[in-house]
Amino acid sequence: MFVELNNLLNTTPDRAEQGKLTLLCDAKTDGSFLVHHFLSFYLKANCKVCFVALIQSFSHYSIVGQKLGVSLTMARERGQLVFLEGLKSAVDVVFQAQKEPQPLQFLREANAGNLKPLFEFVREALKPVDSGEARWTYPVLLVDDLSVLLSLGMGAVAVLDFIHYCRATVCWELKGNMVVLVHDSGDAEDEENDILLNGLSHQSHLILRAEGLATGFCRDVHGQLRILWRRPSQSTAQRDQSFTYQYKIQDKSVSFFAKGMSPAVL
Amino acid sequence: MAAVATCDSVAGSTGSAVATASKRNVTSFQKRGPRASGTNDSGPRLVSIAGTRPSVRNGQLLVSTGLPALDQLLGGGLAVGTVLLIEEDKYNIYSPLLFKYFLAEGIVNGHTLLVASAKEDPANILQELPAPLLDDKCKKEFDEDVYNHKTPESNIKMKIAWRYQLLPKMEIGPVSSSRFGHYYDASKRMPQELIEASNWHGFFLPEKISSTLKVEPCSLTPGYTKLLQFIQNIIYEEGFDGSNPQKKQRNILRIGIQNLGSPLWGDDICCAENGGNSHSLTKFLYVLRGLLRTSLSACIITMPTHLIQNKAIIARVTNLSDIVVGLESFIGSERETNPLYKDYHGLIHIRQIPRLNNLICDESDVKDLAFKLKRKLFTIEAGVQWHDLSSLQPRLLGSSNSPTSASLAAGITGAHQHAQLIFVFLLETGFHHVGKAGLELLTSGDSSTSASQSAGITGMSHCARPRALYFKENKSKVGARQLLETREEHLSSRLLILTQAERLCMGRRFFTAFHIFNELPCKGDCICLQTCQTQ
Repeated sequence: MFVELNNLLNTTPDRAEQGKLTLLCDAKTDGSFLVHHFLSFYLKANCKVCFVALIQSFSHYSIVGQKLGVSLTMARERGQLVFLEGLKSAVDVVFQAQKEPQPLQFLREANAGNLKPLFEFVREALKPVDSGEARWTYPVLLVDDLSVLLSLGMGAVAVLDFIHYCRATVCWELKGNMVVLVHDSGDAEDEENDILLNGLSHQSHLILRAEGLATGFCRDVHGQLRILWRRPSQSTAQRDQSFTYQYKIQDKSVSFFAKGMSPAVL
Repeated sequence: MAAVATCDSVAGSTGSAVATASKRNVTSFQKRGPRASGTNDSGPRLVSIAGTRPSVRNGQLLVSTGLPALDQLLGGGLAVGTVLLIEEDKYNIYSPLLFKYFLAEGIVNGHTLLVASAKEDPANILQELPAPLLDDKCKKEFDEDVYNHKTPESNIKMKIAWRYQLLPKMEIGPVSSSRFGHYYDASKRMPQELIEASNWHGFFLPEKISSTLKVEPCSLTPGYTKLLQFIQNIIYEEGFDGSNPQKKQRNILRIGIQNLGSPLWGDDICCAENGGNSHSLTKFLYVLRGLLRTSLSACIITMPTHLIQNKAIIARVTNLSDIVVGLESFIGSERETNPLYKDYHGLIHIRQIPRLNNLICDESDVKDLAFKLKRKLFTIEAGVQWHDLSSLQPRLLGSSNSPTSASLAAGITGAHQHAQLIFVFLLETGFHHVGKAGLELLTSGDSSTSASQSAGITGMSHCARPRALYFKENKSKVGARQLLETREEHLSSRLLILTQAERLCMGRRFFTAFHIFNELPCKGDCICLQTCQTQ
């Protein structure tokens, strides 16, 4: 959790809005620091988190999580975190025949399968437990990243359907939050990816877009973050407002500053 | 012999033990090997494996790519469990070299190899590996080791080291050099005995595919399915996956896959823009990544990306690989005859460096890298040394991607290790500000403005309006603040645009200053400061 980013978004783990879809997007840079931020943010907010990690292994997230002050291993043991390790799951699905359908069952199917098993997994993971008092405040679904599903042969429409189902369940029914990451393919002209990105931009409440500097690599400024709020009923001045900050990623935190105000040059 | 000498009492034999150690460099008092902290928390602590070292940054176990210069660029080496993707050069001349270096490094360190190809028999590939340049000391050691193996005395247990008996022996292969990263002589072949002593598995697609096909488990092309099953089999049977602890000494599996994605693999992404199984390659990479992440293995893949029709696939492949290195050779391009590049054979682009266990990655500051194949060695050099700048000027015209590029020119000049840039300023007046900032004009031409001359500007080109000027950074580095002041003076009437700043390999302060230039809004007429690409 990066405190500076919380300040920019005007939120804290104690008073986060519910029922929102946040879209993380990265273009010409790596936006994974945003995923780490939201993972630690919601774990600290005492939410029940379902993390669909398709691109990295558990140990990677766990070690970064430690640096940010959360223990993923403990959260998983407590039952607060449900972690789907896509890489491991894919190997199991491809090499071992399993009886019950796996979340990534579509990998085994010759024709384009669907993401229903994955949705079932999410719903099962975030289903409220009746026993005793509520231990966790509200459920959160985190996906890193959706572009991988396209690489694995799913169509953009199937992924959008999946997100729609998840929104209906997590955001609306359970009053929880969703955070998803999508790469912006930029000039690669990945049509499917563009459909997905545009479709999600249309639905989400908050868009965080990490971009590499147009001027190229820089040691002291790693990129810029654009924050786009899409609040429904606000004064026109605040609606669809966009803020742009530059950032520098450090070992355990990220510092944000106004454009051109990098401490390295001032 | 030495072993007998160490059979004496502890006190008495200290001297001889030391002598033995210095002579053979094999002693029971061994330095403990690198420990992998955190990364492999499932298994017991990793014991020393020859040819590996832990990363300073993230504790990951690293192996060498066989090219120490490349290791350095990739942040120390290739992390175990990751994929290194080499984008092949156009005529596939230099990428096989990197591939062979990677395999040769495995043989020298005694790692297990898995070579997969659809074009050549893996046995032939191994025959053509370059010979390691071991220094004499290592060679002598090697000879002695072989000799000792034959003598029965080597079986005598050394009593002095009784409590170290459980420790694994340091030597694994017949070559005792446990250094990290070796140099290879590309003009010689790897000695036959080394290849014979190595443990390797070959996957030759035409052989495998002729055998009876089982039902496809997933929608991959048959070649990929076979290869995945083969790799998974080796990893499982030889215990490279961390879940089943290896019985014997832990070792690294080096996987090399040649020309992946080419039509020989039965993939149609090189032939059609929207092939029927355009997801085969990305699926294969994903499952391969999953296999690698759970095992002690590292993988190198060469891929003819210039053949792939659909750019979207390349972007996806890049996202699914850990490290991506592109080779761009000058052969057949107009640069071959360009005097700028006469010392080099091509450019090397580090496209992606992974962020493992970390928020940040080890990114090298130097982005201008060129390679050269000398008679024996493949070298990578930072910064292109451009000498005669005046003769280059016409060649570079129109090389930038700005609409006004016709009047823009650029170049990179290397005074030291780093490349320096010539900037093009499009401006009408105000040269003296630039001069004050420490920029010096290179080319000579129209010298109408006396103000500019007094400020150290020696000339400008003959373009009409806007006029183009060629600047070189002064040896004395320009302070960021000084530049800012310059900018302030210009803001009222001029504009500063900078593109392609990644090409700037200058002092840090200077570098960041230009980012400010770009980001702050300015009004009115503008100075267009453009660094042009090396292309």
